[in-house]
Amino acid sequence: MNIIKSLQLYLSYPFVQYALVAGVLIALCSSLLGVTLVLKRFSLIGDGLSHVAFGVLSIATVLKLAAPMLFVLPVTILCAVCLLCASSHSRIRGDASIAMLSVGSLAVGYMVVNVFGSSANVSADVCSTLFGSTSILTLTPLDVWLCVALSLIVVVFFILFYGRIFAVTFDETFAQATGVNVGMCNLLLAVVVAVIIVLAMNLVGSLLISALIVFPALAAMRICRSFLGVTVFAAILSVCCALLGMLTAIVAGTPVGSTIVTTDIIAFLLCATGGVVLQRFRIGRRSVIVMLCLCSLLAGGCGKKAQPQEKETASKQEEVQVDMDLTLVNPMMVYTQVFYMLQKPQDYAGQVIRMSGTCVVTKNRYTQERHYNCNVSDSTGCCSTMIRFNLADGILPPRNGAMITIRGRFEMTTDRDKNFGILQDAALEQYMP
Amino acid sequence: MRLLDCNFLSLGYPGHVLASNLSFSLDTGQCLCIVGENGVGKSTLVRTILHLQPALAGTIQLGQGITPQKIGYLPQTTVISADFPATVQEVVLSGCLASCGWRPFYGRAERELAERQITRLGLGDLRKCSFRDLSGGQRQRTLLARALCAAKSILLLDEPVAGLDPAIQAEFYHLIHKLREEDGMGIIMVSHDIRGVIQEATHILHLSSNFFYGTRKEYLATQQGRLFTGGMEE
Repeated sequence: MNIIKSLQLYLSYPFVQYALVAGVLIALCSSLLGVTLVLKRFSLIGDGLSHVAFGVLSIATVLKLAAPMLFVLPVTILCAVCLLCASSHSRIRGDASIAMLSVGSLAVGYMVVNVFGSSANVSADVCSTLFGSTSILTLTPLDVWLCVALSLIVVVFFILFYGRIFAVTFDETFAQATGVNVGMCNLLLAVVVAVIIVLAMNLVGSLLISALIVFPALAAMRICRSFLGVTVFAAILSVCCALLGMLTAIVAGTPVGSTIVTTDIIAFLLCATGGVVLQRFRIGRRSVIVMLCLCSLLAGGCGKKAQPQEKETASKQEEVQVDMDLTLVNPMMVYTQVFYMLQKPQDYAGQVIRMSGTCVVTKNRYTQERHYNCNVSDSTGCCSTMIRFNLADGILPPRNGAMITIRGRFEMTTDRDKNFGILQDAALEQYMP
Repeated sequence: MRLLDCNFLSLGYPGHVLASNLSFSLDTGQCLCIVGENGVGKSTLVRTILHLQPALAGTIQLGQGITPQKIGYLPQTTVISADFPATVQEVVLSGCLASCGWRPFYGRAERELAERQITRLGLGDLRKCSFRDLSGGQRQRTLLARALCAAKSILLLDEPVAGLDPAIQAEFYHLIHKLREEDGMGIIMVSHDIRGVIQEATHILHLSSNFFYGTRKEYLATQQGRLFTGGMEE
């Protein structure tokens, strides 16, 4: 019951809803393309292109471009076209060129960020882009709409070109001989792949995109015999894994990307076992699929039972009215929520908030005034953000670095034309120096 | 009826001519076999006939109503990966792509055509089988069915019997013979299996620095032919 309750709590956050929508769509698109890419022996293209996107994104960040995506997307598309369309004739063959691009752009990107980076927290930026620890939870509605539109385009492209995609994947020369414009097909495919990879970077980070592309396709190939079957099965499997993975991640507070991939790996292992059973005992495929569904349900149930229980509510403070209790949710969600609160303070103004974190004392350079902040980080500790609080009268200020739980009213103030949120009249509920 | 007429054809890539001044033709019911050593341009000739690459010089004329897309093409099986998940039906149907034009999906006519070719090549029971589970001979028949879906009256076979055991090879040649006799298809075949080829061919094109084109009988009488076939007799 506890699980269901906390799920309900999490699902009421709009950013969790955004994440679910975007995640499912990206999983669907990448699995559709994954079937073709795996069969065309381009399994590693996801890895390569995502590193390219990472490198370009670092350059865009250093150049302080207003809309980095408008710069990242074309460059990634260009690289995808070079990889997919030129590999049959170029001197450096498919896998080698992917390896070169992948390693090269990773190195250049990291170097650029280190040498020219203006951001104080280089490791957090890199960590977030590579592993996508929280980025899917910090999507804006615009991002979600962009994601919906692009996925729609990908799905429509895939359905309309299904026959041609099959022909080109199965036997390029024959397809060309029967009058399919193979060059055009590959070009379109490259563009779509690049778009999906740039999109998926937001979901799982660039390191784990390959997994989203490869695992559903490979799992489906263990079970299904026809191309259509593989495509449909991969799409369904990928969507289910993404959904299950994200819900687990949100409830258990694990990083979203790696949880989705772990779910994918488990699904792959199940399907591989199913495939062996299928061959060994020659039983109908329907029963294997049913068995798989049962297995996954069972695994899901066990997984949920095994999950750490959420912290019990501190009963002694029950009498105080709190609008948002951030001590109830896991670190990742706290980080995300605070991120949103600082982005749009006006939306949360007036709410009473309880949160715990590390106390960070800062000093204003000009007025020498001391400021008290509550610092929160996500579970991997690579992204952190802090919120300033003003203690109510008569409360002794905590020491720097102490673990604190505070309760205060969230207000928006303006400092040098910048809006930011602050916790007013804060009470110190717990203090561990 | 004349199906294909090649005049003074030069093959190769810009700056690298493989063969020049080739002239040959193909009529209904004929079987033209292209033989020659490795690297003389057999595959390039196939690609040129399929219009996948331009001829350096000379012309290729196709018979009435035949377009390059309507040449049924059977590629070397090594090109296709052995673990591809696709049913026989799906593979054969992909041969109908040319008749789809700009339509995104296959229509009833295409499905019926594919079904006819499947039955004709005796693949009816394997219809739902996966391509990767088939034997070499069954694969070759599937790809032939696909080629027949695309073909109007010319079949172009690239190394059709490579890697098949003798019994399956004989069966395959029998199939080709039937297509020629019953449907009047013109067949162009590239092969290293010179003994099998000599049985089946009506005409031979031997690619080398001084190429030969003529009937089987003429070929066997030449010095070149005797050397290549190891002195086979009519």
